[in-house]
Amino acid sequence: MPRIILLFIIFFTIACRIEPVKNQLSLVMAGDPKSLDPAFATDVRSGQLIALLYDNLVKYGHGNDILPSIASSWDINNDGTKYTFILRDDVQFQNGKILTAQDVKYSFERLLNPNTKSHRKWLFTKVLGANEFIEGNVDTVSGIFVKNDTTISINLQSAFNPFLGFLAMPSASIINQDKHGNIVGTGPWVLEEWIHDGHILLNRNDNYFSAPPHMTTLKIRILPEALPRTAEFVTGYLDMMDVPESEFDLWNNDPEWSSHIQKMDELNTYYIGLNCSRPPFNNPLVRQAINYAVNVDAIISSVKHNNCRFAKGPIPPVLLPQASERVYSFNPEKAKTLLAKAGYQNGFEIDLWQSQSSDLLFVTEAIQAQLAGVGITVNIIRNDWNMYSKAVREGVPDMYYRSWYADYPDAENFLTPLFESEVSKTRWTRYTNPQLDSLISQIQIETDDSSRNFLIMQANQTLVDDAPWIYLWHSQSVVITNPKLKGWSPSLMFNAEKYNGVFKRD
Amino acid sequence: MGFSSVISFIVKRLLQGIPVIIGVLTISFLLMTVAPGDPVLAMVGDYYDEATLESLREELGLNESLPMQYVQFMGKIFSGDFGKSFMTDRSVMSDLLQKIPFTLQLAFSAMLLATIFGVLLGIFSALKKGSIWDRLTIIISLSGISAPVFWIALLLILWVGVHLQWLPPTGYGGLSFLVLPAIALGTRSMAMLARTSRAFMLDVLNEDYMRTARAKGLSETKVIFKHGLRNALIPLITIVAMDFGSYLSGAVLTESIFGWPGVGRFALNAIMKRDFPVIQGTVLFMAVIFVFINIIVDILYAWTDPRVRRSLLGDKHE
Repeated sequence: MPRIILLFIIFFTIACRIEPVKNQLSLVMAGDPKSLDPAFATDVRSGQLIALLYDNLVKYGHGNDILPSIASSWDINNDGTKYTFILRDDVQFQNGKILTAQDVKYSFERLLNPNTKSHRKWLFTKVLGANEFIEGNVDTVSGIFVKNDTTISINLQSAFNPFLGFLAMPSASIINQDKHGNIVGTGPWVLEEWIHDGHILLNRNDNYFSAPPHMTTLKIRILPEALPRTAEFVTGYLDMMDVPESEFDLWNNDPEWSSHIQKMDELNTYYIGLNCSRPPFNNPLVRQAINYAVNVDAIISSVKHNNCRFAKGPIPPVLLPQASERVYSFNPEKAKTLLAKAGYQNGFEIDLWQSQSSDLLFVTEAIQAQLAGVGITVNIIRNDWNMYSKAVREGVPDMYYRSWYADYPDAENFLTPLFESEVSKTRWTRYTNPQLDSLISQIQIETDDSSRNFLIMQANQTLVDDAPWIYLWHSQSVVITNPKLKGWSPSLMFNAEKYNGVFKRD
Repeated sequence: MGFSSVISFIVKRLLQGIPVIIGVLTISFLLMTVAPGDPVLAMVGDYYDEATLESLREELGLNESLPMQYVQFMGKIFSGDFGKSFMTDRSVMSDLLQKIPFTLQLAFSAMLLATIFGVLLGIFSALKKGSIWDRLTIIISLSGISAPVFWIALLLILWVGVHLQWLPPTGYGGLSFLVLPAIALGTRSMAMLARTSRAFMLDVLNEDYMRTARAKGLSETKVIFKHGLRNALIPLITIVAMDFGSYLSGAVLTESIFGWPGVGRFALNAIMKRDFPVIQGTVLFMAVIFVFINIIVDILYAWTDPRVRRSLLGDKHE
């Protein structure tokens, strides 16, 4: 027995710290990305990974700006229906092939091709001839026209403003596919190894057309739990991580670390969806009342550690052309008056749905307590994500807690996929408003900036007044980086960062 | 015990395992079909239209009648086709094959650690019955049984990984990465084994055959391990085998905390997303593991205890 104890002690003394790999950038994700095929990138993590392996015609900058990438310049005709891109001639795929306009056409047609089975066809369905192609009537999309190796033009059926933003989305990546179906991109990193649920290892692409990365390798660890991520970060095995909500105060109050925290407003809106198809929320007065009854500021300061901005409406302020007024702030008296006016002076009982996570419970319980103050009894219903989203889709919950993250940085992304009557009716709150629908379709086609801005403000105001949601907040990303890490700053869009400008210095 | 009778015993047991596996697969199939939720919703993300959902359901065979789905599903499994994950479109088999070595590695080391330390601790404490060491062992084993795995795991990460920096906090890829998760996972079994082996050792220590062995002039170590421990082996084997089986299938917490890419997490993620082919693949893997472990346990019983051997193998000439 003593010999065994001795062996154990010896083992522990020998087992000493393993140094982090030199010249490696170590990142972390909470779960495995779904796929590295752009056609199947419907989740944020796949989008982040795909940004490292592939490039698009255009890319998002740090904000909501759109920058050249494979296309060095572009031109949009006056009625907004024809996009002409001039491509760089020095872009090389990771298999050595030089990228031409044909590859661009192939990539977009592959996405539309029914055999690909992509769920992102909608990126290009507005292109002229796309529907005929999908139906199999033609073998090429007439609206995507290759003029020469470095010029390609895309014709839309009608003007559609967010289209340029679509082209920077993960699924619009430019790929090259070989005979065996393997696809490669042109991105700054090359896939070396992927242990699913374990890690993803990438090597530097020395031939990257824009600046090749400073670091030799990039490793993405998959760690689902928050505390182990923190442990890896403080011991130097991770170079950056999102600060977990429960640790905000800990890091913020640490003088050694607080200067290495970078925050950025994210393009999202957290909300409580209200089912407008039946009582009590088919009455706008009740929906307004409930917006007054919830003390969003109190939740932000007590539960969210002030790392959120209260939401005045559905569209994040970054995407609004001008600041909007705050209509709803905590006012239980006004809420009661409105409820009485709607005939609910004695309140009512209602179900509030959330997905399983216990973190969300902090928020829903706070709302439960606040609504009790105006006589509304809230039952919280927790279900796993799959059951929850099925129920939301089928219009089962009267209230549901959810968030919406932008896929492209345009106010329209917070309107069409959420409130357009046909979508809302079959998927979300069942809120329908023909006037809003017409505003949305005008926003999609209006090419004059000031008219478009006016329409966006109008749509925003309509939604604030009609209140199909309880508007909660827009969250911030809070990232802490290793003090040695330089050249990184946060980006608004999840897939904007390619980590080629990042380096380490003591 | 003749070689041929051992073989026929194993074959018989393997054949008996088949209905068990079919039963497990059937029950898990039924559970999946009655469980609420919709796999296609998790596949498409936030943008879709009804036609897409419908064509996906059609393609995945979710629109077929239940008996039809069952027949197709069983047919595929028995032709060795585990299908592709609904979520990732990757072959379930190839993903499982990537994960099984990680799971085996973790389960083996946890069990090895638990067995060595558990049994030694139990014997030690039985020999020193009533002493301070004995009480300490009882306290340690009681806390080992009561402490939740994730709590032990987090403590180990913070103390050994972050504070002392002796070992990497999480991850995999070598012996030094294996120590912490193996301790976290194995602690409970270690405690169980310590308690059980202590109890059984106390029972046998004063048996006549032990005194006889000592009187023969055998060394105390030989007496304890050869004559004493052997008689306590059956319950110990049972604990080791059952725990080992559960480590192979459900070390979800340990795997999640240490970022270990094993089968348990694979199964859990699939359940969350209603990824039916993956659920079925992992369930099948687990069922097969348990059937095999039970066969091995029976063989070990027979090896340790001549009485069991006779009844199992029908061997009259021991």
